[in-house]
Amino acid sequence: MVMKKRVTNMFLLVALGVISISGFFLASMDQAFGQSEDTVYLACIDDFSGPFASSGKAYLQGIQLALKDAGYKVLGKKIELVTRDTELKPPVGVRRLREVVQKYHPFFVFQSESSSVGLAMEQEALNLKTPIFIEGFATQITGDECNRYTFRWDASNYAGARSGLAAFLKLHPKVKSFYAIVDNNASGKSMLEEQEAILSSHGGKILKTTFTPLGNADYSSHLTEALSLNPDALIFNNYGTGNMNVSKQIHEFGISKKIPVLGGFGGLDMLRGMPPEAPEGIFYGVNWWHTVDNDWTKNFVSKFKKEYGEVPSYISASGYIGAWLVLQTAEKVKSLKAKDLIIGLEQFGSFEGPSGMETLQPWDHQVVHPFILGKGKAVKDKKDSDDYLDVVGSAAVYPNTSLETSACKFKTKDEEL
Amino acid sequence: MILAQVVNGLAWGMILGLLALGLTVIFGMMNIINFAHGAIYALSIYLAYTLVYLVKIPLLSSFWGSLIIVPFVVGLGGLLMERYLIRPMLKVKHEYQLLLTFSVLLILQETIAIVWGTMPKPFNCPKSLTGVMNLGFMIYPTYRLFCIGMTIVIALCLWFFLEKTKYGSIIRAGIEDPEMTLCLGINISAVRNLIFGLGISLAAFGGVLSAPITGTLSPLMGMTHLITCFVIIAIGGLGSFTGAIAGGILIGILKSIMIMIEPKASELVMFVAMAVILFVRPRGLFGRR
Repeated sequence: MVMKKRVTNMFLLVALGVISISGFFLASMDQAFGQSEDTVYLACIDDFSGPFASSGKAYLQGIQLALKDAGYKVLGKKIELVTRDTELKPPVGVRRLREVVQKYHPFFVFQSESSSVGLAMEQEALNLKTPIFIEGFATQITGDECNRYTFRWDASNYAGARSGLAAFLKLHPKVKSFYAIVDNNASGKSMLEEQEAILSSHGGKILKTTFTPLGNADYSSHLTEALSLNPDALIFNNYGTGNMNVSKQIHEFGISKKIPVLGGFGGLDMLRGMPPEAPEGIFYGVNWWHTVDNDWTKNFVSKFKKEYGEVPSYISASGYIGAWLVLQTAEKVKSLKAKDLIIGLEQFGSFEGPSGMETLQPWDHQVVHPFILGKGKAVKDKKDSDDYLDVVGSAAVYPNTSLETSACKFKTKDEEL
Repeated sequence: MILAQVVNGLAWGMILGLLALGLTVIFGMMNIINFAHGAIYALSIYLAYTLVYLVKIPLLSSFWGSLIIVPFVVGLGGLLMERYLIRPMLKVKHEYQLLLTFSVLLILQETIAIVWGTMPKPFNCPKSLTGVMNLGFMIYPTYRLFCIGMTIVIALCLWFFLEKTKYGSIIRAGIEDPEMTLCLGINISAVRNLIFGLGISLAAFGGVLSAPITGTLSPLMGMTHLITCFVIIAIGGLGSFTGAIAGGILIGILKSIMIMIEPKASELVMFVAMAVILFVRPRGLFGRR
């Protein structure tokens, strides 16, 4: 009996050993074969699960389309796209970045919406000397926490809040008093500060600001109060499900028919989550909109629809343009080295992008592009299910307008890249 | 302005009270804390969404059809859940029951995410109840006023069933003294089964009724309301359905008024209210034990 047990234990130990060794061997083989000299890597380390999962998917689709357009090749080498899920957790994002860089040495990394994950990955990308596109809204990503390895296309809170409100006030010059509903997080508050700055220069003011938890379900008390205070306009800085719920309830209370309403940050993904009549009459600030009248948009929308059977959101446009910029730069500088790509991107200048003529600022690595103001369409006027907004204005109010005034001060010199 | 907030708090509070009813019925009568309540609420909304937007079944594929069919179907599921999951656990420690209902919560949440995806989905207000009504001192959405009326009707029906009918007497007797009820030849297991099904059905009804206003559909939507429901039944008194409605109204009004005074504290106020009430009256406002 004892003998039999010993034999069984021995067998188990041997089996475990064989499995471990073969696993290690297979992993090494995979790495060895996978990383042939003719294959180079890009990585999309993004939020593929949790509340931002839809953003991660949309962003990845944009990158994949740009790679498809390039035939999945750069400088004659095959591009392989590595993906990892950050689970919307900064430490996980940092871990995945480290793991991917050590294993695949990607020549560029992409990450989309979450500012907290993005800010954590930004510092790690600097440590790992790996260039990265980060599309979170936090102003400091290309502001006082910038570094030479980080680039961004999306408008920051500063740019989005100021540009959206500037375009809104141009349409409603007599509006002076606002009621503000704001997500109780750093992003909501930072947008509010920027909007207050614009309002004070316009001679307007916020009568009351009410902070709400992220993804709040019921805004009825806030809206009841807003109606009682009789403001000239209502502004809301809510993102994700909060944006959907507040839009829905603004429509339910009939507020958008009484006074102008501005949603600081909107997007197709959020609009799709609302009943079709909810956005009617509400103004939304958006990074990009698929009906913007320019050749880039027409071409991109048509390709995206053909590939995925749906209209792209600004997040997909952001993924596409980021990947396109990197590939164009690589072909231009004929190198995939971080130093060459970074300097190449800094010298890229202006280009035809999603919103028209766009410029990559070399001193903060922010792409400056017009921020769009859209107005929610009535259901009867919609041409298709995604035709939510009429583009009614745009503005480009960005920080760091020159090297001298920029809050972003790069500490890494060319030779240290 | 205060009156407007009170009316709004009343409307929202009654919806919350309705959601808490199912939870309190199961706890009060079976002594089971059903963590799966929030997920069942979410599942009901997704089933209603499927019925209204994704499939076309004559007469049933509408908001009104889903308001009838979903609580019925989910209630049947509740009967099965009690028979095959809850009943075998009745003889073991409470902790195991908690773990069981918590695991059902996780299973349902993941199932929703797999079947319907994680992308938020809209749920429209029925066309006949869209728009606002002018109450003289404020304008208010018609659908929310409808919800107030519907909650009153459901609460009265439940009260009548439990307090004024023979079946209600059997249920109450079964709770008060199960052994004596058994001696009288009443099948106590069937009574418990019925109560559980009723509680689950109430969660489903509350879910479908509140779907057009409580927010956008997402797999985790039940969790927020689950916490609020626990606070409400603690305030109202565990097992008291009058307490559930009263607790809901109290929370709704307090939150509404707090938004006027200090919006950031509007979530905190319900926990403070719970602490104060439990300190002054540990069994809650209408609790018997």
